[in-house]
Amino acid sequence: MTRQKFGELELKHDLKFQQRAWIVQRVGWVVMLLIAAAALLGIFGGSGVLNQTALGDAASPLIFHYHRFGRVLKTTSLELEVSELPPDTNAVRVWISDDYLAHLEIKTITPEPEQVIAGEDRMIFVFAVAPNIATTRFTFVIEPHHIGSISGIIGQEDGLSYAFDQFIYP
Amino acid sequence: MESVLRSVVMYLILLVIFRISGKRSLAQITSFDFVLLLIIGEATQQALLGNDFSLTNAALVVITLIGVDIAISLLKRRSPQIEKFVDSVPLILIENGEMHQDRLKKARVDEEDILVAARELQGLERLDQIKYAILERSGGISIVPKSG
Repeated sequence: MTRQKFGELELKHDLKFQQRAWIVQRVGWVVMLLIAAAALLGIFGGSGVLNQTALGDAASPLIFHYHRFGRVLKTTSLELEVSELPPDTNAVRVWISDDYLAHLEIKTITPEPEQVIAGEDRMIFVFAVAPNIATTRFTFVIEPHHIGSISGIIGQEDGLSYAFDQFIYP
Repeated sequence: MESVLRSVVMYLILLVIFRISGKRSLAQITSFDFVLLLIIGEATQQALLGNDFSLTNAALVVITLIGVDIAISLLKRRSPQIEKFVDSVPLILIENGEMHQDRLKKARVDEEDILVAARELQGLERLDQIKYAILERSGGISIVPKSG
């Protein structure tokens, strides 16, 4: 960029570049606004209508609530709602695939499982349940350690299971 | 590796965001702007260090940031285009006493900003005493008074 003369003033002036820069700047402002709007909707993780989703409808004996998008090292939750439990049930066995668990750390499980059993390609969590209850919930708070797409399967032993995908931002 | 990558990416993100925000954002530091910069620093620190508060990680981050800064300064010397992108270009707002209103509007500078600079830097009283007013790359306004 060479200096130009404006009267007695010597300056590295480039009006064409500046005008292009202003256009880019305005476009940048719009992009920033769209990013903020997308974040409010949950596209970058956290709460937001586009982030929270569920598998299984209201009539299903197993409903799985999770977030489509997460951020690395930020906790998110997986929630299983189990219903239509037989009256004599005293335990519910829930499983999560190993290839999903490999990408994260489970921080808390509510309620705490009585047992955790390592299956062939899954981890099985055994929860004690009170007799004669129709519906119960289990919540796993997880912390992803992997950036990018992660896939997994979650389900109830001898019952329904759901395959799901999440995208984890850096 | 993660420390270095985070640092490089964060540096570039901040560079782009501050360039998009415009020159005057950096120059017009009010008390609130100062607080805002502190908050940005805090937010950035969390992203740079993550969960690793070791001396090693901190040193790697600092070394990477300074290294990227040096690399960019060397690139700027070699490439005028990169220099323009990183540092922007000065912009003449008043030329031979004539005000470029369109440039003032686009640069988000008003006459009062120019008068403030004129008073502070040159002790001038009126706009017609100004020969050149230039919005510098830093976002500050420099004033060349009319002679006589």
